[in-house]
Amino acid sequence: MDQREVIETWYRLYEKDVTHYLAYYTGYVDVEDYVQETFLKAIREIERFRSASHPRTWLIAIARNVARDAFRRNKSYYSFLQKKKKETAQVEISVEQQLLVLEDHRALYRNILKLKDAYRDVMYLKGLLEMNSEECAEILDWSTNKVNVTYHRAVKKLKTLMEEEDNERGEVL
Amino acid sequence: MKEEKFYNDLEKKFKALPQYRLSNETRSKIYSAIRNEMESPPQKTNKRMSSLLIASCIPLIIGVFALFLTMDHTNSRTPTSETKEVHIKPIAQSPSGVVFHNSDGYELFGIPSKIGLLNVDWVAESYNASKMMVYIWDHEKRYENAQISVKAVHTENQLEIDLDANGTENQLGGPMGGADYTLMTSYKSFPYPGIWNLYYELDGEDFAEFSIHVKEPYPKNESITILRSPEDFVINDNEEVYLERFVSSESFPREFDIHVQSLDSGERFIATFISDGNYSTRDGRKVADFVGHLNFPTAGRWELITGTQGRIIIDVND
Repeated sequence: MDQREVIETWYRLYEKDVTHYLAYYTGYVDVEDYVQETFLKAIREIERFRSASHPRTWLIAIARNVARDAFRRNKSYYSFLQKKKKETAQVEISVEQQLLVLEDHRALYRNILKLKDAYRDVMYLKGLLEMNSEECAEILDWSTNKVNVTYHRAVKKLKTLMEEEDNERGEVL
Repeated sequence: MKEEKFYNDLEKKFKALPQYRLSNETRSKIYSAIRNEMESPPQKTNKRMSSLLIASCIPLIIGVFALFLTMDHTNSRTPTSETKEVHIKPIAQSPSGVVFHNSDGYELFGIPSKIGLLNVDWVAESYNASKMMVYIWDHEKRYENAQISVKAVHTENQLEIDLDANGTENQLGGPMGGADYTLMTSYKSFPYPGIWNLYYELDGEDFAEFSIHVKEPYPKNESITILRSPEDFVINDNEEVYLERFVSSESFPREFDIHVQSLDSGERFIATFISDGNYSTRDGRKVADFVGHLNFPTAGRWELITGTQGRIIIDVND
C-alpha cells in the first residue's frame, strides 16, 4: 500500500472517530476545519508515524493538538461563543444544544465540562473513544500509571459533581 | 452511589452519547482536500531568500499586527489553518443506467442491449452487494472470451476504485438470459454514497459507461446492522425490515424487542424482531438474521435503543 492509499484508508476507517472526539473535545459541532487539518497534518507528518502505534491513536493525538492550537489561537472566538451562550442560551453549533437531546446526556456532558483539563482529557479518551491506558498514555505523553490515577480521580470528581447537581435539583423540586 | 456501580454506569452513559457525524458532502469535500494535498508536490524554499524576505517584511508585519490589535474580532473566526483550497472539481456524471429485463424476466440495471447487472441495490460500506452477475450483449461477437474490467469513480470527490474484487483477471463466460456473455463475479463495497460513474472495458477497450446512485450506509451499532439504507425509511411503512445481529453462540434468541423513541417529540413504540432461522459467520463471529417492522408514525429523528451496544439513529423522511 502506498502512502496515498494508507491515508485514504485511514480517512475511511477513522474519520468518524476523529469527528466524534473533536466535537465533544471542543464542545462545538462546527469541527470540519479541524478534521481536515488533522488528516492534512497526518499526510505531512506520516514519516513520523511509528508502526508500533495504532493509526487511530496517532490520528487522535494529532486531532487533540489541532484543537488545542485552535483554542490558543482563537481565544476571542470561543470567549465570544461562551458569552453569547450565557446571554441567549441559543448557540446552534454547541454540542449541548445541537446533539444532546436527552437530559441524562446533557447532565453528563455539563459536569464533564466542569472538570479540570487533565481530568477531561483522560475522560474523553477512555470514555468516548474507549481507549486503554497505554493508548491514552501515548496521546497525553503520560505514564500509564498517571493515566490510571488521573482517570480514577476524574471519575471520583465527576461522581461528586453529579451528586451535587442531583441534590440541588432535589432541593429546588 | 457505590463507586463501582458509578464506573459501570458511566461506561454505559458514554456509549449512549450521540455520535456526531459530518455530512456526506463535508466528508467528500475533506477527502478532496486530502487528495489535493497528496497530489501537490512539496514546496522547496531557498533559506537565504526566505530570511531576507522575512527581514524585509518585519516592519510591515508589526504594522499589520498593530492594526489587528485595534480590530473587533468577536464575529470572525480564524480556523487553525486556512481551509485548503480544493482544486478537484466534480466530474461530469455519465448517463444514468436504467432498469430493464433480460429474456428470463430478471430485472437488470445498466444499458439495454449492451450491459446489465443483476439484482442491484447499492448501499455504501455494505458487504452485501458483493456478488455480481454481469450480462453483456455483443451482436458482432467481437468479445468472445474477452477480459472484463470495471473502474468506478465518485463524481464528487473523484475517488477511483477498481470495482471488481477479482481484479482484471475476469474472463467472460457463455450466453444466458438473452445476453451473449455472462460473468459471475464479486464487487467491492463503495466507500461513499452518491453518484458513481462505472467504466467498463473489454480486452482493454472502452465498452460502456453509466452512472449509479449509491445509497447512505446501513444504520448500525456494535452488534446490530439494520439492512435498509436511511434513504429508504419513510413514515407509515409496512414493509418488512431485515437486520443482522451478532450472537454469541449457536443458540440465539427467537425474538427480541427494540425500543424506538422520537428524539423530537419523545413518542415511543416497541418493534419486535423475529429470527428467520438463518445465521452466518463474519470475522469469526456468528451473525443471525431477524425480520420485523419499523413503522414510524412521524418524520424526524428516531433513536433505536437496542440494549448496551450503542445507539442507532435514523432520520425518517415524509
